[in-house]
Amino acid sequence: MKIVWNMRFKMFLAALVINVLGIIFAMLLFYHYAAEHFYSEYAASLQERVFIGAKNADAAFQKIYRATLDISFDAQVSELINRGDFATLATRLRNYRERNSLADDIYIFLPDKKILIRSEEYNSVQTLDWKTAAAWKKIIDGQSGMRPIFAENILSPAAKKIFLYKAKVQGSDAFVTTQISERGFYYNFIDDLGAGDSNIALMSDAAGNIVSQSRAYSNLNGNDFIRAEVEMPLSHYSIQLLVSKKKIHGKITFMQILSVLGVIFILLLSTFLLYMLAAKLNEPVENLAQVMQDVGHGNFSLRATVDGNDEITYLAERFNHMLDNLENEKFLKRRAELHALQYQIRPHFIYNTLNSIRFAAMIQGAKNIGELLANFIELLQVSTNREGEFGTLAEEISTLKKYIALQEFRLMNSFAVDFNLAEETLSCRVPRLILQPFVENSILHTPSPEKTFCRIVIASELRGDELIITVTDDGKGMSPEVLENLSAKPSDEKTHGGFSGIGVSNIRERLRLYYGDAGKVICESDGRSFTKISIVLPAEVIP
Amino acid sequence: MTKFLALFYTLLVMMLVAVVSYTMQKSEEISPPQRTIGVVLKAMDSEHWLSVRSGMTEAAQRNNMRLIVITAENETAFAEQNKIISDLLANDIDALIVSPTNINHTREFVDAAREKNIPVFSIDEEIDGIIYIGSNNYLVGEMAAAFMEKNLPAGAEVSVISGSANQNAHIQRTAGFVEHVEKNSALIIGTTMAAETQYRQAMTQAEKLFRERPNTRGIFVTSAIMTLGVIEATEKNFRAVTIVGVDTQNDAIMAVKSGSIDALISQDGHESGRLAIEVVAAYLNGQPTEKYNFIANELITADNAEHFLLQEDF
Repeated sequence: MKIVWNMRFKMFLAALVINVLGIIFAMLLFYHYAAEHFYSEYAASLQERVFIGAKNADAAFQKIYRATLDISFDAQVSELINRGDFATLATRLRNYRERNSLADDIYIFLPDKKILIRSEEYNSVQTLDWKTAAAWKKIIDGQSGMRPIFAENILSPAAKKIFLYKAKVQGSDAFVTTQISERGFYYNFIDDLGAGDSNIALMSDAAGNIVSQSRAYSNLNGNDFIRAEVEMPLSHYSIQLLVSKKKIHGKITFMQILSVLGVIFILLLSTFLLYMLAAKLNEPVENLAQVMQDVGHGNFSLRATVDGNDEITYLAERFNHMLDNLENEKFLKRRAELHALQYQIRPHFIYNTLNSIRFAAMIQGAKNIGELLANFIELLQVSTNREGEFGTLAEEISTLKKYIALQEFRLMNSFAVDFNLAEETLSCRVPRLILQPFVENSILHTPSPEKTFCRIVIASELRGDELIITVTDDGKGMSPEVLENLSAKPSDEKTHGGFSGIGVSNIRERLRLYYGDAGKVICESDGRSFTKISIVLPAEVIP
Repeated sequence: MTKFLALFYTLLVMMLVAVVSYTMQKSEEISPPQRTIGVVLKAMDSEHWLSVRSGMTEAAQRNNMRLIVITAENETAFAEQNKIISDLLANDIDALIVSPTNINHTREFVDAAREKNIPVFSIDEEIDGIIYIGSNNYLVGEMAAAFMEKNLPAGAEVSVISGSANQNAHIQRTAGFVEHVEKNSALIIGTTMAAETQYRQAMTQAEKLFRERPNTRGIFVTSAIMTLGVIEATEKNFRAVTIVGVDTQNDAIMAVKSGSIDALISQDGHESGRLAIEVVAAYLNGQPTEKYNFIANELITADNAEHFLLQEDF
């Protein structure tokens, strides 16, 4: 597709660039903020989840702690121990256990007698060998207060991992212990937090040792996970949830793709809308441009549509106005041309009449008058000739001679003109009637009472590329003030009594217009005995 | 145009700075310096204590505190309560709030706490030299007496069935009632009986009272759960007596509404729980705290019972 860099396209492009920049900036901002927000929200929700889980787990520990304490303060338990009624005691323990579903089993241990009473139905009263008794005593000695211990239940057939609470039975030399199976606790409180293929849930004690977990964590890199950890105030265990970053990265990538797609969609949409808008906005401009082009091809009857009140409307209005003016002007010009044609008729009438007079003079033998008239007619023809502003120097000199002849007749022996023209200059191109004003000047203004006859020399030469024509007279010269005036700016002042009415400054102006700085008029005079006018112009030989 | 561009870029940079500083500020927010408060209440077998716990939990969340709330089996089990307190003191707590079951056995844990430099606060039950949060119990007794005086003719005999004599709250309420009746009214005090703060005991005591003092016209019962026991005895014996109880709890208020109880002196558990945590937070933050922090007590009768029902959280 060829791109036309018209107004519409430029406008469209400018708007598009701004739009694209804006959208990309907004999207970057949005993306940055969204990702940040997503991470923090995710971490917060993870923390919240673990917090609730930890609260429930701690409440369970508290319940077992309280149950153990209750049994230790149970007067009947103490009495049964002291009475040695262990079978009834076992039943009572069983009742307690049934009330606490989390409790795996409840033992009462009499260290002196090495007797163990269990809440189990089978084999509920046992006498331990001294080694087992000592080992059990050692295990339960490790616990006191609200923090459970994590141990191995050496008294169960298969050594289970357990959490254990202990309390001394009030009024007896016996200890009550409640055991919670680690697996049971895990599935009740930790597994639900979201343990899975990529997530790990675990519980650790105050020293940081892991006491319960979904699967082996040791061989995993902790940096791959986002961690939420809550320490429980009662048990001082901590529950941790580790969620694989991969899973979250997947979500973030999805969000990335989504935002990129969003950008593309918005860009496409805005491009389309912008194009439509640019087209709509440019319609009057294009219309105007089309009209201008057609008018340029000469169809002046066309007019731009004027609709609305914006700048374009104003332009169209002004353009129409201009066309109206142009048409009007054309009409006036044609009328002027007609007038001009009419005026041209008059000189012909004058020439014809003068010629008739000349022939009449010749027939009547006044040859002198006939020649004068011939010169005058020729001069008139030259001065009114509109065709050709230029002629050769020879032609110019010939015209000048006719003028001089006329002036000689008028002024009778008050001056003489000599020509000193270089042969090669005669075919040079010069503006018409360029010498006449200077010669006239010399003829009319030079003679004075002291010196009634003066001599005028007209010379020409080629000097390099320049043609120099001089008009020199030996008259009274010009005062410096007059010289100054001659050099001054052209004035509207016309010379009176002259032939063409063309002033020196006018000549200067014409030369400047034709040749620029290359054409000039130099006036020299000592104010007493001579005046020398030099016309300098580029030499142009007409072949 | 250059001015416009400069303005545009300035705005852009300002926006960026704002966003960056906002996100940085956000990440700083997650750093909780948590305090753990150990709370040992008398019991968890009545609405009152449940609402105390609810008020505490709410306020603790607001103050970024963790609570360990533990209760003894019942209000008489002081040995168990003391064992729990000593375990708590050994369990890294920053402050202890206690509602002791027996005011005669508080010295041990108060001393132990002092040794460990853990501040102790009492709720609902005053301990000597310890910051107290709860009702002004003497005033509660006086309010009950004033109500009796207004509703019974001169010379009528009134008695008190009080909760555990080991609890200051009950002692104060009884004292406030008895002293106000004796000093300011034409009523006569029949007897004051003390029992465990339980439904069954209160009922037995009331039946005993009706047997021994048949002229009884009014009974002030110092706890709501006991009041409910007293009602059962009254209704069984078809006695027309004016009964005034204490505590804001739904079952008792329903009884006020239906007319079985004539009046209750309110004791908003939620409010005292909330106030207790606020006082502890202020204390731990080094702000000045009062020795006595009373909650407002109001008279609940059939006229305004509905209002108090709506106030309940449960």
